[in-house]
Amino acid sequence: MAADMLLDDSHRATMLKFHGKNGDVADLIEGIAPDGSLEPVGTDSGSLAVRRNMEGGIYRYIHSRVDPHREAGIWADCQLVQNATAVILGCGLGYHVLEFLKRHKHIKQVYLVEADESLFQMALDILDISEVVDDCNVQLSIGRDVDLFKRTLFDSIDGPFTYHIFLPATSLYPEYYASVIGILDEHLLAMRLTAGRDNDCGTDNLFAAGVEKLIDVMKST
Amino acid sequence: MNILVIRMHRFGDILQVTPMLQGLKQKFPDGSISFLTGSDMTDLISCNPDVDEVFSIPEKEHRWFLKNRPEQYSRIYNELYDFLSELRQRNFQLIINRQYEFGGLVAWLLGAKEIRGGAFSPERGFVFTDDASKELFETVRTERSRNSRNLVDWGCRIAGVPLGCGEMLFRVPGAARSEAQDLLSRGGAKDDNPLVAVQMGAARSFRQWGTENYARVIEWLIRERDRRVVLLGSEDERGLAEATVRCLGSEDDVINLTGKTDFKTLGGVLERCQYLITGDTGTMHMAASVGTPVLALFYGTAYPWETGPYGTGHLVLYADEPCSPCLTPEECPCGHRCLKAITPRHVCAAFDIAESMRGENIQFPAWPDEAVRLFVTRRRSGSDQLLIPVNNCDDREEGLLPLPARTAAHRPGGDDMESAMRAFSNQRDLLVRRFCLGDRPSFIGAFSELVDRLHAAVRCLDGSRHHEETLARELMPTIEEVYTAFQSEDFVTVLDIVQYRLAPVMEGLIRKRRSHGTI
Repeated sequence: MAADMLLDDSHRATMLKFHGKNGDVADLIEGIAPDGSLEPVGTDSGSLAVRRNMEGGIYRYIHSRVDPHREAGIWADCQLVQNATAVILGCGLGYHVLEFLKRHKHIKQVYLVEADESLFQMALDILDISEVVDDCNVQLSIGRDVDLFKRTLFDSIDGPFTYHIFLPATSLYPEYYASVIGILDEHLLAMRLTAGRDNDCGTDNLFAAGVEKLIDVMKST
Repeated sequence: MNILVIRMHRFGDILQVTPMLQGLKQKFPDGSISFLTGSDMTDLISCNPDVDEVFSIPEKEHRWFLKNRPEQYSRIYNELYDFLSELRQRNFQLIINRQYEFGGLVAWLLGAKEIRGGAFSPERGFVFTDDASKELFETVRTERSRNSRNLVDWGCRIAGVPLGCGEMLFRVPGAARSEAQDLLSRGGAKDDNPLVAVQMGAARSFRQWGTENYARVIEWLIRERDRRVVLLGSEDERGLAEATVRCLGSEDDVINLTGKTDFKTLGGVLERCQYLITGDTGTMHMAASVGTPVLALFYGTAYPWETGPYGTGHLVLYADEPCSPCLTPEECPCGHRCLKAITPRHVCAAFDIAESMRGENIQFPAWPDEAVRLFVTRRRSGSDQLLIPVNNCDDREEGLLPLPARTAAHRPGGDDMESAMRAFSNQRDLLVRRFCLGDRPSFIGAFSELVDRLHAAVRCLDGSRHHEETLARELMPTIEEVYTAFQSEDFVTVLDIVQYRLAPVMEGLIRKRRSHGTI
């Protein structure tokens, strides 16, 4: 099923946009052979989901087998978005990314991180995520190069952000995502504390310093 | 009025806030009361009818990480920052802080108009802003032994609600009551057995009376008063229970539930008992909160006027040494004389007095020893709780005698099955939320809780006797499937099964029982 879809027009158009946006990553994605352990599966709602077959007959679904769109909507509604920048960890087939963008239109900048190149390749095949790929406010970080992710992050994010975890995708690469979350947390902490120290007045900086003090109290309890 | 009450830890201390909550609800009937507590304490408050919403912080876990895994600092900082930012948007008008400096800081971060019970400001640090808090602080700091006011009453003063306006309250959910009954039945309790609960442990070793003393009392209760004894305590206190059983020589007449109860089932077990015998512990406050009379032993740092069981009709034994209440029990120059002053003889005599007070023909036997004093508690509307020396106790005093039966406040609201089903549905929603927040450890924890609630709901549906049959017949194949998915960390399938298969089966079971007229 996935192989057939590779050939369709919509996919070609998406890849074209992808090349225009990030040629290196687009080349990488096009160059890798499809991963046999990723298996597209039909769902009750008619959409496609995907599962990863693992050793010992174990498998993990990345999206609901009942209704991936509904699942994605619930996920997106649950996210607490406080800033104009958001980082989404785990793309899967992209259902939740689409729902997230649809629901949180005030967001100016989105970083989409997917550790699994093959899964992202399949997302391009299966779902029409051309608007995600085409959106100049969406930056993509595909693959598992922690240093590259760190550089990109420090170069591009210059204000407070929130990050949002899509567990089915992140749990396939726990070590990589743990490193990414660690980097995000440190970066965010530094931003919040710097904001607190650069300026003597204002609510945000007092708030940041207050949380710091609260942690001091917890440490000494 | 949008009100937030803050108390993070110590389960007895949280229960001591419950009368104040009733007072707040009476004072602001159209107001909304939220409660901020530690994640491991939410069960104490989630069933409280006076609280509209419970928020929690994994404070204990955070503290552990901050001390042992400092690299987690940034994660914890960001979590707290986000959580408090979200809470700030609630615009609380009044915050009652019962968690001192921590609560003061949180209250300041949330920016309430009025903060009672201790506030914080960057210029002045932690300060008491209301008169009652200032008075409490001064009293405890300068002349603690003159304090005759229970912390519950102090709490009401701090919140600005009428004294004696409410009772200690923990409402046992129906499912937990059934589970408690199961635990007792498995321990050999029959429906008509009069039970006495004993809590031997205490948070600090200098508050522990000793297994030999407890064993003598327990033996007397079994042999001379024909009671069955239920041993209560945490997982850490199993050793104490085992040592006591060794002293007794047999465990036939003892139901050992140490390490087997959570807050809800503890409430369920205590509800079923005639009395609890204990030191100054959280379990003591739980017994008072479900309406079970307490025989409390106070020595060392414990001061019954401050932290004694709240309500009418509890008995308090107090070793009234000149040095008590002491502040340095670890370095006691008197060899913990206060601990040794109370003997099994005192406790047995107090038990008989309690029994006498429960009967219609009330008599007060002479109290044997001036060195150990015996008081009965009396809660009064409009004023502070009293500790009345038993020899001065007068049965003409209105409202004191006989010992209280459980009041309407302690009875569960609504249908047991409905509450069990609601608990299952709430847990299902929580599981979905944990999934969406990408919090793997919390998702795993929420799943285990969900399975417990599922069992509890089925137990309520069928009564405890047949619930395992029903589970096996109707739900076991689905449960096995969900377990398999869970073990593979196939969280999507776990959610699919829970939402689209388990929940409808549960609803179907209810419909079936309703149509058969068994509910």
